[in-house]
Amino acid sequence: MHASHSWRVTLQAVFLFVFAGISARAQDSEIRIGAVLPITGKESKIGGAYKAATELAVKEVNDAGGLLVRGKKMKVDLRLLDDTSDAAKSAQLVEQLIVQQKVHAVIGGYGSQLVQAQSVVPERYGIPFISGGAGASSIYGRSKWVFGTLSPVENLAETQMDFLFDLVKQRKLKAPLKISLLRENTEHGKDFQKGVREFVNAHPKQFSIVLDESFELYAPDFRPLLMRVEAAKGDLFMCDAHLEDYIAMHRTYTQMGLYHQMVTYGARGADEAGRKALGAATDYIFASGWWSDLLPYPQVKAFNAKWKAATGNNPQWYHACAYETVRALFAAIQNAGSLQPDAIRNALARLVLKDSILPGGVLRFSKTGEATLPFVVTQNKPAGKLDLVWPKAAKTGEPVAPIPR
Amino acid sequence: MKAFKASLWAASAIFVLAAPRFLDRGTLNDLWNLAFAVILASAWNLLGGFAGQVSLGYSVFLGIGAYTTVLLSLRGVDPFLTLPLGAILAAAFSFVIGLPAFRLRGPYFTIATIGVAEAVRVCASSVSFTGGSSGLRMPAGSFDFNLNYFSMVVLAILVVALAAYIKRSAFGRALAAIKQDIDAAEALGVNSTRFKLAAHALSAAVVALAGSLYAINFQYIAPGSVFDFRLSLSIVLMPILGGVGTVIGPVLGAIIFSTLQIKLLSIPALRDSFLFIYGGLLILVMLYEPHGLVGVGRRLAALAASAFGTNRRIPDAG
Repeated sequence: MHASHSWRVTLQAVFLFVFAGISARAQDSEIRIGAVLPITGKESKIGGAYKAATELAVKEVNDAGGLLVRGKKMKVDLRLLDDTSDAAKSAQLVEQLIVQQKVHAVIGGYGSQLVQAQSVVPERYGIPFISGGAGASSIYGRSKWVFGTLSPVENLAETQMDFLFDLVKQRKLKAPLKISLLRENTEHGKDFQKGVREFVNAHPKQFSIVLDESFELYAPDFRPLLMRVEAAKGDLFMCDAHLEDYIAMHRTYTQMGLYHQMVTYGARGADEAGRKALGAATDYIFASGWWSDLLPYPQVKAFNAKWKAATGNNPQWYHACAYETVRALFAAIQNAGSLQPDAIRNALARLVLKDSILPGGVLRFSKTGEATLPFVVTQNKPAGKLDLVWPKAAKTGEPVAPIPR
Repeated sequence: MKAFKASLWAASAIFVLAAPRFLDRGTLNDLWNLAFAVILASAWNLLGGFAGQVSLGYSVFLGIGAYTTVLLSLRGVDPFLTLPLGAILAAAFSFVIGLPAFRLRGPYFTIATIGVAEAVRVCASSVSFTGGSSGLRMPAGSFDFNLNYFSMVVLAILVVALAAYIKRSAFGRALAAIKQDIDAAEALGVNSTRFKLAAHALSAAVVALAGSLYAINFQYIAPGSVFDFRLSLSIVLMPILGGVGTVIGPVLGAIIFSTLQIKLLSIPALRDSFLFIYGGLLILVMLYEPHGLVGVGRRLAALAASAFGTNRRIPDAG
């Protein structure tokens, strides 16, 4: 045989054998938990935080000897993969964890658009899936295997409107108020828009929407959009954006010298990354969140101390949500007393986590698999201070409205 | 020797077609990914490799195929019946791009294709019928992995066979002439625009078919995934790594690319090294062997030939 053909024969042989290998099955002496997170790429800022919190929750359990299943303690083997903030890769990796690594359950990623892609996979294989980083309602209710600890974004918007309405009732803001409403062109953004619109329709004397526009996720330039905001002459600026877009948009907002009586970027505003990037420009922004370290529960104080001891920093809402997601899954596994997918799934559906650090203090899932917990509202204050301003019963400071010029 | 080569290709084809009988689902997933990569790389090679027209906008065609399938499936059409329409739409769009873009040459053509792809991605993210940045999901209950596997593998086999046929056909020789010297080819009576448009349309249709099958298998698409520039880049990198203008080069490039992507990403210690390793390989290829792995093979063959004292001409690896 000629030499030029030898290498081709060899390569084809390699091709045949590389893919003929059958992945080794691990024994069920440990609990294999898969997680796919955006540790690099556009969502890496918060994805990295989810990773740290997930690992802390797993470490705590393993340090305590593991989870009690079938009467014996079993350690948790966390198989955490990076989807590089790529939706297609995210779904592929979830499939890989289920099919090749034979995980018992999967922890979903951060970002509704990434979790949306992941959430189609668990149904195919019948594996429990729980996400702590996706609030878009369209993800839930399609598969009995999919759960999420973030309450619907629509409720987030309603909470913000309740807060603003209360400011009107307190005469801090004068009705009627014109709203400039911006949203990312995602399911997350649509839910936010729906929540605001429904409230405005129910309160036409107090609120009206003068601008309602969407923008591309990770848009490169917000100036044209903000010029339309300027022209609309709204009293309130309400936007739903991811962290990267919030930082980019508010930088442009500040450079353009725009002013509104109240400003929000949905769940963004209190984020440490945003405050570091934008400094005093973030003062008085209010945000609705799935959690705040200012919540007056003893379990929250304990978590704050634990997180600070482990990392040296104060926890953010995404740390808490990621941590609580893992805790919810582990509680379900222990309640199930089994590693069978059906048993874990049913335990998740029935779960009532009474010492939850999330608002309300009790975590449970609705019929669609989505948690429905109250939201909190925080407002940034000068010098890096942050106050919990809603619900009133838990507030740590008075809301400042309108924003001083 | 031709019979031996043909039997090896046939054995490979039989292996992948029979694989569901003896391989586990995880390995089949890998083979599905490999077949997908082979289709994209080989389809791009029809224009980029055979005719030397380097387009960085092939994700557009993948997106057109994928969106055609999902949008029609959501309206009750059987997903597999949507494949021809996706291919036709992509081929038609390739004319829309190609007619003005083929007036440009070299890097200007490449830049134009990047511009078109980015424009399409931004538009797809901004309009609502694509689901915006959130994308769209296939209707529930339309998933059959075995069918998806066979569809992708059969398409990959057909595309490689098509590439081999074209390379030896008059059409392939015309493309090769265009690649060598477009002015000389024109002078010899080759209508370069017509041939380039035909190769572009053919490769676009093939990529759209792969896009449709991608949507059927993943059940979810978004502009950020199917119109992603990184995807366009990957499509180009595979043949470059394997060897542009050959039949086996894109296949080799696809094997390395998909293996690196899937295997390394699943190893925590190596997951961040995927781009580093791939980038390193590319630098090595560009510096030392512009013909890719096929070129390396030729060199090894030449060394072996001289070592054994034979003095035969080294045949074309494709």
